[in-house]
Amino acid sequence: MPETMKNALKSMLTVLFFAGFSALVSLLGIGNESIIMMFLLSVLFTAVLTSSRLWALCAAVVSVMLFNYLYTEPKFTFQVYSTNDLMMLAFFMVTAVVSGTVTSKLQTEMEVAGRNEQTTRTLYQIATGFLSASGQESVIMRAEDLIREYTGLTVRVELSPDTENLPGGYAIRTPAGTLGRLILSGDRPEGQKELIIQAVSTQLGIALERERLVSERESIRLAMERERQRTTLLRSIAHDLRSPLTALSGAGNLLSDHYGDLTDAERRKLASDVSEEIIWLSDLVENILNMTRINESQLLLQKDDEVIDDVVGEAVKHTERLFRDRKFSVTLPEEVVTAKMDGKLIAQVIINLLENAARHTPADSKIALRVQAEPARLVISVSDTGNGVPKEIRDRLFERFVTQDDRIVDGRRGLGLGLAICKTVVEAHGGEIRYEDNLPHGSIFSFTLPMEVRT
Amino acid sequence: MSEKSTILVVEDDHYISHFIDISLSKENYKVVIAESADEGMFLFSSHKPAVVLLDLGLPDRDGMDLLRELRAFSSVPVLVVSARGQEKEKIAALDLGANDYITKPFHMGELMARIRVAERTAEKSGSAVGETTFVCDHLEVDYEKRRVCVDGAEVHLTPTEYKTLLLLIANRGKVLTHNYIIRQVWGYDSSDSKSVRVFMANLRRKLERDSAHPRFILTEVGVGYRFAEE
Repeated sequence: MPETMKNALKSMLTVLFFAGFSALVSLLGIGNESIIMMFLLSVLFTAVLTSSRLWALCAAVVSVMLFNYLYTEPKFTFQVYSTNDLMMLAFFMVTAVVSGTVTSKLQTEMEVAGRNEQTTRTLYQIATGFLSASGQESVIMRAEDLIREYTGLTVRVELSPDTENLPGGYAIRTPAGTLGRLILSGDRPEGQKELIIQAVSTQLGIALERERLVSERESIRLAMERERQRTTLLRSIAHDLRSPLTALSGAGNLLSDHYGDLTDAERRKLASDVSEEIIWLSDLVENILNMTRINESQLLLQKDDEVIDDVVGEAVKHTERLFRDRKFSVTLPEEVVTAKMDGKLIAQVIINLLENAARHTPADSKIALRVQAEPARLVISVSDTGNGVPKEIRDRLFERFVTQDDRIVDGRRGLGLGLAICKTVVEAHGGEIRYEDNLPHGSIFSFTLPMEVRT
Repeated sequence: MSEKSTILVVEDDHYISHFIDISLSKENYKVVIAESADEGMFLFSSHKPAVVLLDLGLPDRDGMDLLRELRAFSSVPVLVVSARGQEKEKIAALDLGANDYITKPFHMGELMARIRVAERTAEKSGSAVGETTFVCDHLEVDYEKRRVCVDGAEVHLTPTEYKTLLLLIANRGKVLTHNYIIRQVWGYDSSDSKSVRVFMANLRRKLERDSAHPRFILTEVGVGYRFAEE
């Protein structure tokens, strides 16, 4: 109703203003033909101001009556003597109605066009608004922001397919079905606002579907990568197992089939070869086992407060046999220190580093294992005085299956898993592993482990 | 004596039991092999072995079951054979009364040493401990004067450390779990093994020449400690 009141007031004021103005003009002795034009103006203005044909019509009727009352003979009555005046009033009436109608219609159409343009722009902004959002969270936040910005309403997005039949709100539909609902905090709005909310809801559905596809594609890619790594792992394991197995079955066959033909020394040599091969195989199996633990669910750590002496001792016990012809030294921190770690895996890291040092250095090299306690971390390093790591593989040193293929050591290449395991284990502990050159020659592999500050 | 005692091997893997049989026979032990828990139980009562070598993964029943059954009526030394990485199982077996364990893959020498320790423990439980000193390599302990010397020089040990050292020496060759040490030395049960680890590492630094290559106090990762004599 206030709209009607406002329009009535507008029409009245317009007509009164022009009536007053016409009174002023008539004092100057201007003829009725000009004065009636004033009243025509009042009708046109009313049409423009109210955009309503009805009020233009009312203004025309009131204008006719006012003109008749004020300016036609006899004045101050509603009677008309002259046919001339009567004709004028009739023509005024027709002109006013026609022009008022046309003007108000034009006005309405302009307003509608303006509103449509605004709506189109809003819808466009909504559609592009989702383009820059990535990730489900930010897409949903963007939807809520857009609705607040364009309608001033607060909405909540609920993602759950079984909200389909809930009353209220707007369903978020995608080609794959309803994902959830936009829940309004207040009443259901009308017209323009409803249109905007529906548009946001549609765009939200599309954006969410897009996010789902992206994450699906990512997980497929990861699965393929895992599968590829597993295949490579299996292939290299099979490859690496073939040569020791050939040696083992050969030695076994010789011993069982030709025992009598062999000399004592030959038998002894075959038997010791067998046990050496088997030690190598056991180490391989241990590394493969650790590798599977790493592959499954991002490494299961069994962390405990370990005294670093114990872990180092365990690693040294396993590798000491490799250092018979090399100078090997161990330096431990002054005080007994503990750190949270998976003792077996950290021991495996140290074992792998020590084995690498033994495998890739010439005899008589010095190999040093050092543990230093810094305020908040342990630094464990293995240094040697060998030839260092070749430049070509330095960048990929900690990746899987990187080996010094050209320089086959001990007649056998490693799996190239050792350092990759080290890196994964150390990083899972929140530490880091790195390589640097030892001076004047050789290499240093060092890694850190975070340590709780002692109280 | 030319013929040593009888050893019962409960193991279902033929290859493993075969080489254990050969190696033990070479050392003049009499070997009896059972391939299942039930057969083990039967052979135990018919042969009265001096030591039992028990594999935990058996076809008919869990080796742990057999251990529990044995312990109900016999205190025969039991050596558990288990795979690497099963620390919880080892601790459980030790808590159930197993004397020691050995991890696959193992060397024959290691197994022989464990068997000798187990035999000696069984013998010693009868005789009273009359020694007044313990001497091994560079370590010397005088029980009467409560003196501990490393390379001839006296080392100061706190009363708790001394008590722990005596406990280790008394059980030399055998694995003592963290929990066992806490119970024996401090007198309460605790699942917090950190303090024991730090404590043992400190003790080791006092007694060993090189704590990265311990001579006496060996760590059994995830399980406990073993005092090495040989």
